[in-house]
Amino acid sequence: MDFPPTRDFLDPTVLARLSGLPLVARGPMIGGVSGRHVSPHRGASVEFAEYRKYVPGDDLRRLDWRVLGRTDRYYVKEFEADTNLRLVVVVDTSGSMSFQDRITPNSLTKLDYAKRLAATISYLAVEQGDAVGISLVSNRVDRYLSAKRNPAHLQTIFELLGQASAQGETNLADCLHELSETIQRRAAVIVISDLFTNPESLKACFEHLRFRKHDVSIFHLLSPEEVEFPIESPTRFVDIEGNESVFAEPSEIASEYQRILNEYLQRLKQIALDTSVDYRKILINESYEKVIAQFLVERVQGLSQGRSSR
Amino acid sequence: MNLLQPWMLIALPLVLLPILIHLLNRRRFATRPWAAMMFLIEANQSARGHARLRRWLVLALRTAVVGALLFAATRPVATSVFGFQLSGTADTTILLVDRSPSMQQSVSPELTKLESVQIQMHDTFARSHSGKWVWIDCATPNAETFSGFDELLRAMPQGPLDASSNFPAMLKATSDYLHDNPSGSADVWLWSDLRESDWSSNEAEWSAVRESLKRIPRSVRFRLVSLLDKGALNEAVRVSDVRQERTNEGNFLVMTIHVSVNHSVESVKTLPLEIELSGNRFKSEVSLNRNEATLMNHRIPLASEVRGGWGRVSILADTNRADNEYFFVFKEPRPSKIMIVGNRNEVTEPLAIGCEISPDGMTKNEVQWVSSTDVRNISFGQLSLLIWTTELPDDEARKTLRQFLAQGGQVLFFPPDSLNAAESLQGTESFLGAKWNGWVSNDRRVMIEHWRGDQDLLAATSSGVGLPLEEIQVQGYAQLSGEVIPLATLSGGAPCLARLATDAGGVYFCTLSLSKEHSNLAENGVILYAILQRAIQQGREANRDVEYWTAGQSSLVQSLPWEKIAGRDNLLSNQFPFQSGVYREKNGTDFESEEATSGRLIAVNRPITEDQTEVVSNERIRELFDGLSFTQIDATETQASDLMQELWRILLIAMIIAMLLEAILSLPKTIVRQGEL
Repeated sequence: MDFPPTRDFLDPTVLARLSGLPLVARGPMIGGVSGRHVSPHRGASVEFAEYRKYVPGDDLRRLDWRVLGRTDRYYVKEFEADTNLRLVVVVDTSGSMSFQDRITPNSLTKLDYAKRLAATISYLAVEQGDAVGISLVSNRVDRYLSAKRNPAHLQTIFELLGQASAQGETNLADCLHELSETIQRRAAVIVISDLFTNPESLKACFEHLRFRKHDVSIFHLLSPEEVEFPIESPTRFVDIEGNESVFAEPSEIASEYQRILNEYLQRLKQIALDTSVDYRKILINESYEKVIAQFLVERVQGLSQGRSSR
Repeated sequence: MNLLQPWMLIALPLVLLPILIHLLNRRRFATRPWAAMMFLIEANQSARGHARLRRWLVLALRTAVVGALLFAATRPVATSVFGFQLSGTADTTILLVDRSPSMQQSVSPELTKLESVQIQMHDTFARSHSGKWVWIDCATPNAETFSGFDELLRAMPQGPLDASSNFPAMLKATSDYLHDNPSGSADVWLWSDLRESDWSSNEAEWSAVRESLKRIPRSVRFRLVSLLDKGALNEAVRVSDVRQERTNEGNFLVMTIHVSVNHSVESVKTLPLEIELSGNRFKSEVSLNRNEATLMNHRIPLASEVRGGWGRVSILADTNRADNEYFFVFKEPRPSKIMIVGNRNEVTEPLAIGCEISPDGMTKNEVQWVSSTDVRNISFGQLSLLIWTTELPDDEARKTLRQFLAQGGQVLFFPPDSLNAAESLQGTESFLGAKWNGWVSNDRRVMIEHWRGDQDLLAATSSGVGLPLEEIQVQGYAQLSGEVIPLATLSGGAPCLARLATDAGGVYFCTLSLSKEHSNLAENGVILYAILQRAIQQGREANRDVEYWTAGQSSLVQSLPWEKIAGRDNLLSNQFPFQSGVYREKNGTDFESEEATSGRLIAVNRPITEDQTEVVSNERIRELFDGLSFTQIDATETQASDLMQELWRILLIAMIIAMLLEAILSLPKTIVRQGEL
């Protein structure tokens, strides 16, 4: 597959290396076609699911004759149904995503990093036959493409990502609530954002998404400069998303800044645990390939552990 | 506190430099687009109070450092020791300086304690400003007031004295001055080496002085600069028992020389002596054993025609030159002259016998008999004792006797024969309020019941043995009336020996008759002889040819005029009583003449207590000043040459502390990084 040169968020070598890793859902998915994901419905796959008492109307072909012969009872043998995944990638395109780390040479902006994550995961999903949709949000849902599994749709997604730019204020909570209702069928929702909003409002969003049976994953993008706060000289900090500015002596507030940031991160982690959201804190100087690989591997491991425990 | 370079204060606006730099620095901020504003705003708000306090503290410390630097450049000085005790300038500064002989102890090869004090005083006060300067002199504790310190230095003698200081009296004078001039604050500076001889710390008057000082209605601060001994070896010489003896072997001057050392000497050490006698010098030596040496009855041959003179004994120079010499005077003893007024008979003859024999057994006193009518014509010169055995003197004789008493003369009255011849006879004359009132005869003998054995004519001997007055038996005695002080009383309370209170001289009345019929006073002899010889001795004291006086004795001050024969150079005559030396007293006839050669010789020497090195403890000193604003400064004599310290050391320390604090406050806080969570 050839990409226009402007699509620098796609690296073929990375795609090639990651293509061997499957993207699996943490829960049953409802897809339109057969796929590699577990469906909540029983199907005709080779994987046994359970025995169920025969009720009138059941297909007699599913009746387990051996059990009938041994026990003189009527049981129907059911098998798992495999279906495809509906993946929706939510990319935060608010102004804060244009932040570029200064302490890392040749650093990407958060949005660039988000584009790489979104494009790569979308490609992998389509490649394994899953449907992929995308939503660009800032203070509202700017763009939303419903999930489709044809490669042409992937082109549309890439074009959308290529055109995306960071601007406007963040209103992630409302956008996620809106998307919870917009995405009709259960899907894997990946939110890529810096999450600079009230954690409690995010908790409500996550609960809403989970209530809608979505498998929610959060890629929390942070800049090392934001985390370490290595600035020493007096600085006027100008809000990227607005005109507000704050004059501060970094040496005086660094400790307090660190404390508040840590509390915020701890709270986010706790909310993710409470709402069963797959939360991942990512520094944008990390390799996105490594981040995606770790994400995919852990999902596969999680699924196999879940099946074995079941 | 004063500034030596006050013009440097024009640079004072430079203290604003840190503030200016701070403001400029704040204007040179960088602008940074930031995404995580929600954390930044919250951190900025919560850290604002503490951070602002720290920022202002840092700014204040930087300003203080620059201020201290500028202040140090003005060279501030304060009346302090080693910069620890700062004070403002008092309205009145009172100076009390110990100039006693012990203050001439050397503290360095060049300086004595007193010279060190003078340098300290000059360095301390020459740059100080005070409304009034008061000098309490240790010689005569009077307060002298000056408007400037230089004026004080010019007017008041600062040199050493051979008299002990009397700090209770000096502080009493200080108290009196401050009570009389109750305005403003006062600083009282005392310089002393804390010798007990100068402080008399156990005297009862201290409590009265302290209470008086406490009642002063103004702020008074006492500062005692103590100059303690460094324990250097010091020897002191002293002479006693100086007398001229003319024997068959020749004419000799006999004296006892004492040398004391403030430290024990392990081995016997020979110390050379030099004796100067009327301009001639003799060498001698004395062997020191442990910490003293005595050369008993050292004889120096004199020419046969020498009948008196003066001299000095000196030892080699040591750490204190004030106790290296001792002056002496001597005069060939001459018989005392006693005059008995009355009839010479077998009753009164024991008086003459008792007077003629001197206690030393070598000289014979001269006794003269006169009648009462001849008294007005006789000369009392060199008369030691006048014994009156007739009726009390009439008006003219009384005038003569009063003159005799004024010169220190002694008069001893015995009851006249006429009194016991007619028992009812009443005495018609009186003397200074006392008179004979008749005669009392007893059938049985009466004993002397009480007598004053502690002093006066009936005092016990120097060995402590009392006179045997219990051996006296009385059958008749004269009645005495008037304001008399009984020295001995008979059973029943009648006085048998009494004295009158007089300003000078001595007047005694003996109510016992020498007749065997009335008492065994003459027959006993011992009591009568003791009374007569002690009265003669008291008379001789008033007529001595030579005197040994202690420097600073208050009575000496009124004994002027004197002429100096030997002693310190460049002395004013009013300083003679406070300086060791030999002086000649000008008598009335010589007073106006240019050459006075016939007056008494007086040797003035330091008090014996100055040879004792006992020092008042610091605890006792604090007790003496208990309840007062008092600071004791233990100045190291060789180093504390300047009590007015420049404060640069303090400012330097303050700057270092301020810079350290500034550095601590400016240290970046330890930040808990995300990765450390």
